Amino acid sequence: MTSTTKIRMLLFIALMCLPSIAAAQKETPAAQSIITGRVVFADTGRPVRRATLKLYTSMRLGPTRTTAANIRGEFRFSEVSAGSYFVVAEAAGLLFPRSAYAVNEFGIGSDTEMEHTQVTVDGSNSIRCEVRAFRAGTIKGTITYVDKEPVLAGRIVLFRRKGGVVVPFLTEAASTNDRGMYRIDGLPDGEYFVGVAAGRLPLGKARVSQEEVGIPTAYYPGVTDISEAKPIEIQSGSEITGINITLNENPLREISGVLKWRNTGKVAHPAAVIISRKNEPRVDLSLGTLYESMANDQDGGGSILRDFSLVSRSVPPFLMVEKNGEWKFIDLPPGKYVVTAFGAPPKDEKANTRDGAAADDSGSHQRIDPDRVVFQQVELTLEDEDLTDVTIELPVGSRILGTVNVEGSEPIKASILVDQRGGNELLLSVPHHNSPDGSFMLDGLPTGEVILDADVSGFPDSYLKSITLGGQDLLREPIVLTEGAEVAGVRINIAKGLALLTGRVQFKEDAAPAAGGGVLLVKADSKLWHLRSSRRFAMTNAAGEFRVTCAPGEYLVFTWPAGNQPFQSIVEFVRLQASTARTVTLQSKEEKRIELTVAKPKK
Amino acid sequence: MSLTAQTIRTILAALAVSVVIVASTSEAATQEEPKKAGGSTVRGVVTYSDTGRPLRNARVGLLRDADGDTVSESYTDHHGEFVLQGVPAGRYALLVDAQGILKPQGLTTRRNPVIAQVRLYDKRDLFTEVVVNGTDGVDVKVHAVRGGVITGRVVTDDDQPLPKADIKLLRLENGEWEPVEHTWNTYRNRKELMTDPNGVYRIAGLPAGDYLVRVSEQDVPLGGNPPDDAYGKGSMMLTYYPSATSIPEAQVVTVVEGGESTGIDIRLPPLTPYSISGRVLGPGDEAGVRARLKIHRKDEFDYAYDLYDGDIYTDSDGSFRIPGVPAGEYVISIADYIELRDGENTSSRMVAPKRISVRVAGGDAVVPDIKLTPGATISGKLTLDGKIPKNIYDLVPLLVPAGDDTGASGASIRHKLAKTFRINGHPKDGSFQAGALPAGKYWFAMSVVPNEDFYLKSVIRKGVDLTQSPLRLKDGAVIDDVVISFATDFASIEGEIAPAAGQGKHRVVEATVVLAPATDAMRRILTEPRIEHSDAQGRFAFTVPPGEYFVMALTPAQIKTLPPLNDDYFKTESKKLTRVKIRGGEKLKGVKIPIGVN
Repeated sequence: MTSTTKIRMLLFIALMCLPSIAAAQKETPAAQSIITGRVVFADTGRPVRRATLKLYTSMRLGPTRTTAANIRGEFRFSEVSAGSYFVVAEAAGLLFPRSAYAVNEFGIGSDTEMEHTQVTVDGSNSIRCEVRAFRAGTIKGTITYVDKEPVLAGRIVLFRRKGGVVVPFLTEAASTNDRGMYRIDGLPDGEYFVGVAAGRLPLGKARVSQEEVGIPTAYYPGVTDISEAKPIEIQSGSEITGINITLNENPLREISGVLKWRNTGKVAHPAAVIISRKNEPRVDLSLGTLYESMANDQDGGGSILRDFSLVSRSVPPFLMVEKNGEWKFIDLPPGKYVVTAFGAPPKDEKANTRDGAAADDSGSHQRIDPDRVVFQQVELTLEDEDLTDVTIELPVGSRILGTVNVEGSEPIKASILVDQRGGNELLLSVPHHNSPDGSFMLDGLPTGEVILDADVSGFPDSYLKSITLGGQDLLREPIVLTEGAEVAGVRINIAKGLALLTGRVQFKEDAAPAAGGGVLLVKADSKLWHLRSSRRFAMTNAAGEFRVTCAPGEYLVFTWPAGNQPFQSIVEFVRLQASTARTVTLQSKEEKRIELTVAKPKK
Repeated sequence: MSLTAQTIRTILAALAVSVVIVASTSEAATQEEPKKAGGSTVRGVVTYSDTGRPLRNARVGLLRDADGDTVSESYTDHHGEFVLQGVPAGRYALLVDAQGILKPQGLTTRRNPVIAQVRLYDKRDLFTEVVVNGTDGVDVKVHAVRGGVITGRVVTDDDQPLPKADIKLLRLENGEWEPVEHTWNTYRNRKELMTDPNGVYRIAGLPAGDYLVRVSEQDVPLGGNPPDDAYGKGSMMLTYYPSATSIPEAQVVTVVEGGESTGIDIRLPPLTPYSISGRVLGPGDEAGVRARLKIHRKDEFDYAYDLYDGDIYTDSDGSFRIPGVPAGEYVISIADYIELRDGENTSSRMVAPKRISVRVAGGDAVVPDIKLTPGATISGKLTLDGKIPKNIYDLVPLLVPAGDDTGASGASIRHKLAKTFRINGHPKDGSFQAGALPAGKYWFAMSVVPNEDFYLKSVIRKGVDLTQSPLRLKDGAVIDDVVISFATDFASIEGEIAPAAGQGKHRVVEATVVLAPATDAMRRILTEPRIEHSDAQGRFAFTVPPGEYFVMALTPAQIKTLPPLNDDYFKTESKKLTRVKIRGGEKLKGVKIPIGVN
């Protein structure tokens, strides 16, 4: 069975285990309103034939209703309960919230700078609205070799630049056809860079993710470094053609070598290696990002599939190391690369396995134990020769032991996050968990400054109060580990009594509700800005309202309008905006309300 | 809610980690196969047959001729070159898999050698034959042939582009319009078979021939209380190029390999969605509750999937309504397991499947009440060599409606399975019971999947062998004395190809030998022809159920000019073909057959 099949099976099983989440609002007695209308193209006024219409109370929830329009674009929602709704039309060629995604530290954002049609009903009236649908932009081109033959199955990669920051941008996967032609649809206004990955992908079982794209071979108009790529401007649903790339004759190279354990010199297996271009915008694959994106996104089922699929497409080239420790990446253009290796050290005979995982070395069922993974990164420059015989050594990991303590209560199963300064972008920044008695052991930790954090947002009314080691405040002063060290006595302290902040965001210009916008609360203490536990996200609903629970403390409050999710890293963003942000202080269990304003996005 | 979020995170963590765990359970393999002990190395270069330029980043696979297994595969590099290592001794077909490149069509079974099958079906080599001895390396030059292309734009009746329209193709084969499987057998959202936001589609890699282009609208979730003329099932709204609503009115597109048929634009005529309604009743006029209905277009019944994808059920009083149906001729079939409700009493029952024809024209159609009947039941015993079979689940004889029992050649497996009834035996005592059979005339036949371990020997009831004469079933009949006998006493036929007149001692080396059933009864026992290569001395051997067969030998050149090998061919040419009759367990040797058909 291929990896994809297994992943899909696991997804299926996981979704079956999810308690079914009622995405719809509970029907109140007054649920007799009718919303009718017509969907038309904003530019021509012509109907959007058989568009799918969705009714949302908040863009973070799943749609409460879905229906289809007829061939004249007419639709009807009946038995609608009182409230404010977004009416969103989806169809091929249109811009709509889920037509494209920017993925960055703020989460997976459906990024479309358009105003959503909003309606308000009282539970008994009927209203009529016209939904204006905006065309999405398109980029088209042909990718060929110098001898004019087409590049077949070239995977298109897309980046977007906003506010000087370039991030990966994801629409439906696009690849070249039998003539080397491609087309990318669903693009909101903006500046884009287009690249193509035309190298060979690992075959069959060797490929970990069936949606892996590979290292981009070239960017429009034909350069290997994205910093030299030419931007393409999309405005008002324009169709830009002729974005052609001719791949030059220079051969693509390989980087290969062997992976060993530093302390024993033995070959490291099972283990894996990942490669990425240095300084190329990457999707932050740390699970913390996904968690944040999901923390306020209550549409459990649909989003998991979407998020997981997006993450799968962003996985960098990823190989399992062979039994003799060898690994090889092929078809790489020249440039600077970062190769990251990871593996779990072989178990001692006397150590009891944590989860009963087979410790047999028979070969076919070995697993990289996620609780004990260690990493090593090397930087390499590829010029005009293959780089073979690259030896990477995995260090002995360090260990931290401690307890999770809940004020006045039984221990809970917290998610303990481990990070390194600068962020750990690997898929394996998997949260650790403590045992039911509150104790935990974090294994395979890297050398140097290690940041600990904990996520208890799954538990009612709980928040991370502090992480201490003796008298040391580990939230403000990261712990420093030497190789193979063991540090014991770390206390993760959880308290109860969340505060609640509700509020409303309005546009400065006309006091209209800033619906579908984002809100971020960050602890005011700059020493805490890098921690996930010091951030809380929310999204405004159709009435511009939001609500967010948070730990007691002093916060900076940021907001941005729909479709304008910032592209910078969170720390960068906060640093830039801190001086002009509103502040709010909340005590434990306190409820406060805040009124915010935001400027309408400039066209 | 918060607990749910926690669960979600835990699951997502597990999923993300499973990417690595799952990956680590499979054998690591880099781009080229690791050097195995022994085995030959096959090196080659793939070029486009028209320009001679390299074909890059194409998948090449080496299929073992004997069983069709892919023994090795790789991608071509920037020079179109590839290396396949560790190949055991044997004969292989090297296939190229790349967009727009022609692939062999005829690979339907693992029973017959790959090369013989595809050569006989395609009448040419869309593969490269590779023979290695397991030690020495070989060099091959592979020519990739560009197929034809059909491309065009789909617009609505008011000239607006129609995005996400679904495209399917039919190709003229032996005088019949047959579905082009890869355009029908695919998960519906495959991007290449859909129009883009401008309504444009492009299908490449097509073998030469005459085609029909069939377009249908996308399916959208309908939900709630939409306007009366909204429809969710776009798959009901179909049009053939250029604007036809039926196959006879459609215009043929002739495809040339290496060329493009452009401007194949389709304009949807106005198609008003009507409805079909009616009621389903049980044998005693009870309401047929939760009966599942399938609807097909009449002219596609043999090969298309249910247009509504199994979404229509009768409600609690047995009535149904199928919305969104444009004018046309349809077949509604009712599946076989329903609830019957009579006032307060409900009972679940098997009923015989029923099909009715409906014509929709100019308005909603109301069909007369569909009365289901319990059907007939047959029962008896299944034996293997006279005893209760050990692996009875492998023995699945079929009951095929007479007239639908197209034999070994021609009809695709899907045609056959759609209309047949499977007979399953009980492992304890070999008894079987098949119920809810519609009244009619039936043949017993071997299951469609060919088998080397046993064959259908006889079906005896009251002294009559029902493999030789059909079974007539009246509605409500109960027949309980049928003995279905399978046997393992295969026969063998060995022989050689006699040299052609005037060729003296010169042996024919490369020939494809075809063994086909000679009678209708045999076609129900050997469900597809057996094909073999003759060896270097022109010898061949077959292991087959006893019976009557034609045997013929053909060179690749002769295959090219052969008409299709269907039942009609064998009936017409029977006098020219070598006929062989063989009994159970017999070993017939020394059969001499001429090369070609004279």
